[in-house]
Formats: sequence, C-alpha cells, structure tokens
Amino acid sequence: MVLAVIVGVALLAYVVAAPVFLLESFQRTLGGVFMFATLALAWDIIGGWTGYPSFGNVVFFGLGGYTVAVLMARAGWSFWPALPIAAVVGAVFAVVIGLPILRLRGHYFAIATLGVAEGTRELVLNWPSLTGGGAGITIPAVGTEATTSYPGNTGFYYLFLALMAISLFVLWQLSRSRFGYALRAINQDEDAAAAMGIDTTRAKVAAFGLSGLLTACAGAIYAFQQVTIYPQRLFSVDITVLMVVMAVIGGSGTVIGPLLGAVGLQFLSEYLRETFLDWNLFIFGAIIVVAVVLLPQGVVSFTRDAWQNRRIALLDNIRRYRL
Amino acid sequence: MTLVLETRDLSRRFGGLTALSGVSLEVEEGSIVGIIGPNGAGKTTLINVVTGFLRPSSGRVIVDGHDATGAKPWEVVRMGVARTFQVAKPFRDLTVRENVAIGSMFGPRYAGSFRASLDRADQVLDRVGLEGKAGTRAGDLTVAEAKRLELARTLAMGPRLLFLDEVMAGLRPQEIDQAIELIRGLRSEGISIVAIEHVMKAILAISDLVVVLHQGSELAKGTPDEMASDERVISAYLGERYARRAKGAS
Repeated sequence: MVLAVIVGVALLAYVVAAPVFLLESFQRTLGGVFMFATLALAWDIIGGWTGYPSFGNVVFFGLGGYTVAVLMARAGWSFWPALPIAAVVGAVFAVVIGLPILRLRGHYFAIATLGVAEGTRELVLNWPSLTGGGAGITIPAVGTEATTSYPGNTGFYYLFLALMAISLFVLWQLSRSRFGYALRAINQDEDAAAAMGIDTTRAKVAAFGLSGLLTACAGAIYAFQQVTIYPQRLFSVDITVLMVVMAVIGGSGTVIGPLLGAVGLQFLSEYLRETFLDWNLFIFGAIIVVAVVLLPQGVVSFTRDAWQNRRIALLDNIRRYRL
Repeated sequence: MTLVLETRDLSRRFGGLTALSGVSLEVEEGSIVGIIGPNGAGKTTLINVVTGFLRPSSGRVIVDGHDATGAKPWEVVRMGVARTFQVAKPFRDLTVRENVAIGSMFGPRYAGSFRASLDRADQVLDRVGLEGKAGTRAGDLTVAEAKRLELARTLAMGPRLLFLDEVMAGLRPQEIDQAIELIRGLRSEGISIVAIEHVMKAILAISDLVVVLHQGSELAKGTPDEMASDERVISAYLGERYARRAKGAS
C-alpha cells in the first residue's frame, strides 16, 4: 500500500515535470495517451461500472469538438468560455437520449448508441452552413483572427493531463460513494437493485451524463488542437472501438484499469506502426482478440485476483476454451 | 387498527391471461398474513404488482394510507415496503457485507453515511447467522446461504412491511424452525409481514390471517385453523390426504 503511494507520487511528479525535458513530439504523443485515457475512463462509467456498453460514446466527443469549433469560428468566442459550454452540451445530450435509450439493455443498447453516433455524424455532415459539412470547419487559431492564443504542444499536454486527472478523480470517488454502489448494483442485477430502493433510472441517466460530459471535454480540447476538424474524424467509430477496448483490456469496473489500457494500447500501436509497416493493424487486432479471449476481465482484475486469491484466471480461461 | 397495506379490487391481465382478479387484501399493522395457493394462483404476481415491478390492470394499492398504485419499485421501498425474490438475486460479484450494506444505503432508513451502512450490515449479518461469511463473494454462497442473504438485505432496509416469497422452500425441518423464530422476532419489532408459502407447518405457526389464492382470485380467508379445514381449500390446494393427516394429528 505504501509502495503504491510512493510509486504514484513519483509518477505524478514525472508527469507534471515532463515537458521540461521531453521532446515536443513526445509531449504530443503523451497528450494523445491522456486524451484516450480520459475517453476510456469516461466510457467505463457507463460501460464498465453500470454495465451498459455504449458503442456510440464518440458522439459526445464529436459534439464537444464541434461546439467549440462553431462557437470559436462562427461566433468569435474564446476557447475558455467555449469549453464549459461543450461540457454542458455533452451532459445534456446524454441525458436527453439516455432517458429513452437506457430502457434498452445489453446488445440493444449498444446498437442504439451506435445508431445515435452515426446519425449525429450525418446530421453534422449535412449542415454545412453551421458546421462546414464534409469540408470541415477551421478554428481561427493564428494571426489577428485568433480569439485565444494557441497553447502549443506543451499547453495541450497539460490540458489533457488535467482532464485525465479529473476523470481519475471522478472514478476514484465512484469507488467510495453510494452512487458507485448504485451503479454496481444495477450492473449485477437491475431488478434487485430497484427492489432495494435504488432509483435505477436516475442513476443510469446520471452515469451516462457524466460519461458524456467528460468525453465532450476531450473532444473540445482535441478540436482546438487540430484546428481544422471533419465529421468523419470527430465522429469516427474507430475512436469508440479504441476507448472500449482500452477500458475492457485494462480492466472495466476498476479505477485505473482504463488508464492502463489506454497507455498500454497507445504505446503498443505506436510501436507496431513503426516496426511492422504493412501488418501493424492486423497484428494490433490479433492482439486485442487474444487479450479479450484470454483475459476478459482485464489486466487490473486479473492482477488483483492473482495477488489476493492466488487464482491465475489465465489458466482457467485456457482450460475453458480448451486451447 | 391501522392498515399497513390495502389492495382494492386489484387485477392484472397479460393479454388473454388473468393472473390476478379483484384481489382485495388488508394487512393490519404488526400482523403476519400468510398467502397460500397452488402454483399459478397469482401469489408472486400479487407481490410484483404491489411492489411496483408490474403495473396493475385495474384496482388500487394503498400503503399506510398513501396511494402506491403504479409506483416504481424504489418509490414503494421509500414508503417502507421491502420484498424478497423467490429465487434469490444476490449481487454476485460484491461481498456479502456489501450486499447487505446496499440495503441500508438506499432503504427507507438510510444510515446517514456510507461507512455507517457497512457497519450496520455486520449487525444484520449476525442476526441471520451469516457473520462468518461477511467477506465472501455473494456468488459463491450456497443456495441456503443465499436465501439468508436475501432476507438480510431486506432487514437492512428497515421496512415496515416485508413480503417474503417462499423463504422456507428447500429448508430442512430444523432450519424451518429457526426461520419461524426469526419471523416471529421481526413481528415483535413491529414489522408487518406477508408471507407466501407452500410449507403449511410454517404458515400455521406464524400467520394471524391466511388468504388462499386460486386462479388469480381470493378463494377463502380466515384463521390458519379455519383454512386448514375449509372444504374448498382442501379440494383446490391441500388435498384429502393432508386433511386426513391433519385431522388425525389433532
């Protein structure tokens, strides 16, 4: 326990001081890792803790990004007031679509959220007067037009780091609050949860709203960083898949699982891209499949199980699939 | 005498099937009502409609004078009503203590803090005899232990009215006696109980009033002895052999 705290503080110090001695390109890479960690952590609130696997969380990412882009490019806003508006848009959209959609369970919920994401992308694509449509929209970031000074690689490093820290704090609070128990109870057995006095509708919608809020903030910062954004990128299903895979492989339903998943998979995909020019995506996909088959509960749960119960789930899983 | 629960002409239809038809039940405060009847008589449907898991097709549900018709399950809990499930539904990946603590976190008598809920859970576990299993994963319990956990969770909620759905099923005679003692203890604390049971020994021992359901409607109601010797009840549910044996024993 004490060891964990020491390691944690050391990592924290390193991460905060890093831009002083790290190359800008590496800061940019780490910024991306922090962004994906935020996405995975936010997804885990509704997917891992509550047990409602959203396959459309990218819709909040895109909405957050486009809210900031539209406010800055069309209405001349500065980034700093636009960011909280993006957060509110994410949260409100989650509540509005959550109320009907959270009545669905499991696979049906997943498909419905996927549909919402795809539909929203089409809406953005077909509204060029507001969003620039397929040609994209450009935030005035340089010169006299710029409403906010552009933070640069180091600035975005710290922005994403701060957002990730907030997300980690939220997950940590979940692990020691009534709300967290309500979500876990709903995940285990929604009828029993209702029978024990948990307002399951309110809890689910709150979880979805929280997830949407954090994801929208990530999208907002991303949009500013990219300067020019396109619907195909901001609402890309690839981003959804990545955040889900990171959360699940890292360990859904835990606090740091999604963070580990994000760090691990981002560095893995960078390494593969540099080493295997042609086959990197295939190998990446294969590794994901193997990991999900052999380690469905994720790295964090597996480690905790092995440590506490001397149970090596890997062997159980191999036996189960007769490999 | 205050009525802790009153149903007025309660009905529930599933398409062409009438599961409940005009059931008017009155539960006096501090009493134990036993509900018996053959399978398919509508006993569990009655619990589901009263506790908000199903909406009634017609009729009303009144808890402590407040209209609870069509309320959501958590709203009914807040009115002081708790229920067990016929097949226990534990939160499998949580510990036994956490399962019970959730009851005092969201029940009508919230312990005030998260920590206090966990402490209160240990007291309840002592009561049902599960204190040794507090840290066990709920999914790893035996069926009998899971039933006790089911009961412990409802106790942690601090209800005024408790619905027990076949808690005696599968218990050994000695365990049935323990359960009867426990239920009597609950009554002496002021908890009103509605118990659905097939174990006649238990029903006769604990009930102040017995209601017999048959094909969705109330067939008869009265004291346990009256019901055990009622002709209609014998022919619909108890059977001649039971009646003869009961007469022979008395």
